[in-house]
Amino acid sequence: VKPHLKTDDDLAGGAAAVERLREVVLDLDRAKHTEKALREETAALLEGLRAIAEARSSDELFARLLGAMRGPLSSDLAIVLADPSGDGRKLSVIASTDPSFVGCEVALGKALARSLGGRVSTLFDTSVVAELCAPPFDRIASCVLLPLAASTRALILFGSHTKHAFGPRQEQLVKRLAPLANQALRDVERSETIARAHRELQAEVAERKRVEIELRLAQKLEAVGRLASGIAHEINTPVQYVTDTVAFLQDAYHDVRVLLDSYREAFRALEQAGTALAQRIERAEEIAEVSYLDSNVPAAFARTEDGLARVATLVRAMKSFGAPDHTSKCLVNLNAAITTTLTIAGAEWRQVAEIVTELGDLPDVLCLGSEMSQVFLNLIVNAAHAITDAKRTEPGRILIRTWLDAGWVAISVGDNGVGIPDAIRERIFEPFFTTKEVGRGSGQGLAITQSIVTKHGGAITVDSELGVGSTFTVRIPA
Amino acid sequence: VFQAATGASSNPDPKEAVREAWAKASATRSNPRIVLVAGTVGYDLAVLHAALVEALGDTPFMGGTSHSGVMTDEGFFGEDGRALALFAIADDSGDYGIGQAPLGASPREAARQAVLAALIDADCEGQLPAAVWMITSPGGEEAVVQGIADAIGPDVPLVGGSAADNSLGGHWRQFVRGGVLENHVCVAVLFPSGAVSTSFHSGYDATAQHGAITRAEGRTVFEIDGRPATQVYNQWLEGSLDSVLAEGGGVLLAKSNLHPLGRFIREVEGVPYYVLSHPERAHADGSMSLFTDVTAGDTMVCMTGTVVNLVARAANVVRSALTNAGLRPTDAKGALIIFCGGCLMTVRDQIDEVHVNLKVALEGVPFMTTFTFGEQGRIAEVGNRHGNLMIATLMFTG
Repeated sequence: VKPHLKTDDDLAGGAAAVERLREVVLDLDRAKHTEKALREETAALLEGLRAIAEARSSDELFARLLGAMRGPLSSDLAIVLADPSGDGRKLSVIASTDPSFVGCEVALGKALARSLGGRVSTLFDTSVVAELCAPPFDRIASCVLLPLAASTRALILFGSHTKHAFGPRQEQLVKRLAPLANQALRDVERSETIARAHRELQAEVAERKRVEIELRLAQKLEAVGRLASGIAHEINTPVQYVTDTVAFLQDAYHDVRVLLDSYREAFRALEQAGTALAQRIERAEEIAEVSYLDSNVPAAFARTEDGLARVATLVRAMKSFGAPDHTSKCLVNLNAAITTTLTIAGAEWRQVAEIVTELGDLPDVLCLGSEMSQVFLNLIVNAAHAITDAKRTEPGRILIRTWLDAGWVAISVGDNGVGIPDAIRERIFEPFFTTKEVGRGSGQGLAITQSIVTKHGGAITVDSELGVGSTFTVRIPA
Repeated sequence: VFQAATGASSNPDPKEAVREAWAKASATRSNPRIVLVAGTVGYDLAVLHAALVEALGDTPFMGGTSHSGVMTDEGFFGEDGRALALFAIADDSGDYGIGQAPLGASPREAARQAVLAALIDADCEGQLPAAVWMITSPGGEEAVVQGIADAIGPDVPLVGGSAADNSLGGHWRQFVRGGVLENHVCVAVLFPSGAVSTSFHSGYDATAQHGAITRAEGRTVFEIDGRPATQVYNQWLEGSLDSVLAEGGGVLLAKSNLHPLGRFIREVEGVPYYVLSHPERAHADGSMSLFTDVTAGDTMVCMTGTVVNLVARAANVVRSALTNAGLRPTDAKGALIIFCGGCLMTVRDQIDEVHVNLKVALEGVPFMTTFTFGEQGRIAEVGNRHGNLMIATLMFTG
């Protein structure tokens, strides 16, 4: 219907109204198109979000994100470039929909640096972008770059094999994707950080426990050492005077025996004379069992001497093993330390095995002697336990060897015990790992042994065959 | 952070004009990265240019001549045909580059070369800019638009205008830091740290009068519906051109400003939209010159507009750019507006009203308006186009 316009003002008002109406129609149309574009973008973003929401690691997130966005962006490939070294010179491909790109490096030129700085950008012709002209990146003719605010500087490149494949619409989609992808990446990285921290905390707790046990054992060992040293000192005095007394008695018995022989010559004269005195003397000798004493007293003295000698050796070993711990290293004769330890650990092995030692010529080694003695003790006790576990009828055999090996001192303790199954061989040096029944081992012996050897700049290895036996070899710098 | 500042002057002395305008435009927090310039041919352009080089130092600048005056957020300048306006952009996180090339025999190739040079100048070779700002000479704008698409594709928003003089005397010029240029296309590629939004409209309605061009060459229409073009156009205007035609032809602008020819672009919700061609001159042979290229077969519709529409239109275009980007005026950080010089002739007496409308729409945002003899902009869902009697805007957001 044609409006009824009477005046110029009516005309002007009508024109303005038409103008405004046209404006509204245009704006509505634009809004309709914008909404359609936004709906399409949102659908694509939701697809991407669904893909990345379930990612549990940054690697998984990259793989899912690259795959999910290739379609909406119509890209031929997608790669993640990172600067793990942080030197700002090169970027490495750490993920790609095209495996041939993974590991390839690209110089960090202006275009990539600009995006790395936080700008979503579109390269419509990469043939004029110097850093993307080298293989395999020269297969990318155009791309959109999405910066990632990750723990390391990184960006995602959505690429195409044709120029001008991406325009403002794709750039806008990537701009909308950027904060979502970055948030997802930050979440994943935070989870990874927490998991890593948890693992580190667990390791630290285990290490602290190990150190605490090591410390407790060291303190116990030191206490035992002090006790042994004290006992040895206390035993040594009576042993000494018992030894002296036995020597005195032996001498006295010898003198009395000489005197008795003289009396026997007199006795034989009386006997020939047939005197009653002779009969009383003979009766007295029978009662005193002189013949038995003649044949057994020397042997008794010999056994007593041998026993006292063994006690003296044990006392010396106890004094040596229980010597005050040194916080600083000193030169130690390791062969002597092994011999001493064998004496101390006698109760552990004597009933189950014979010891064979092949101790080579070794220089004195700069080390903590008491700690090395603990290493030998642990290995010898372990060997004895392994032989016991083999349940053989005949005694086992523990072979201890030492030798000089190209600047290293090597000590091996071998046994013909049960051997170590392959499945647990990697774990035997772990703290608290044990296959022994409760009360027979804390699972700390080999862990502490490895710790001590490592502390001395050495290494410990094991060769083992199930049912045949094991040999532990320690090497420390000569 | 993106920051824009404007400065303008109509001081008769070009050196003083530059000094006054630059004093305001350079009041940004950091040094401007680029300055866009609009000046009138009322000045000695060589002196004006030398003063700009001296005042702006190393800051790159680009611009063109504006018809009769310029406008900024401070108002309209150019009461006596002399005016200068500067639009300075400070943006440490953005990148900007300028390129230019003589239009020569191939405006299309010239535009392509100018854009590629601008990308190199911005140190962004191969990279898609957020928008392109252009100033060219009247003639061959369609090819220029196509040449820019050749370089960076058709989807980057393009806003610009054809330099104008004060009298249709062909004195329009372009200028960059290197000198005052004639018949050049100058482009600035923009990589602002914020976003951009554009709008490109006319303020005319279609009438029932229309006809098919049956003979044309370049920008000259010889025949519409098989009859001399001026005869048909005069008929559509109910004899308004009788006096001009009686004199054997002449300038048509005063008559055609409110009655341009329109070419149908698309229909929106039943409302047809047109890109306009402005009849410039009637010739004795019955042909008619326009400010756009036309080809035989194009259907031309006689459009009609009102002063009221034109006065309101600039602000509406600005509002549209804001609406398109889902922005409030306070989100905008600066606006560049291209306003048809022909429209300015029509609304010259109401130019302060135009300014007030823009101020209200932009709520204090710095803006610069250049009055041109040809406008380029982006039509939603259609692409970048050249037209006449159009208004285009490029809005920067933070």
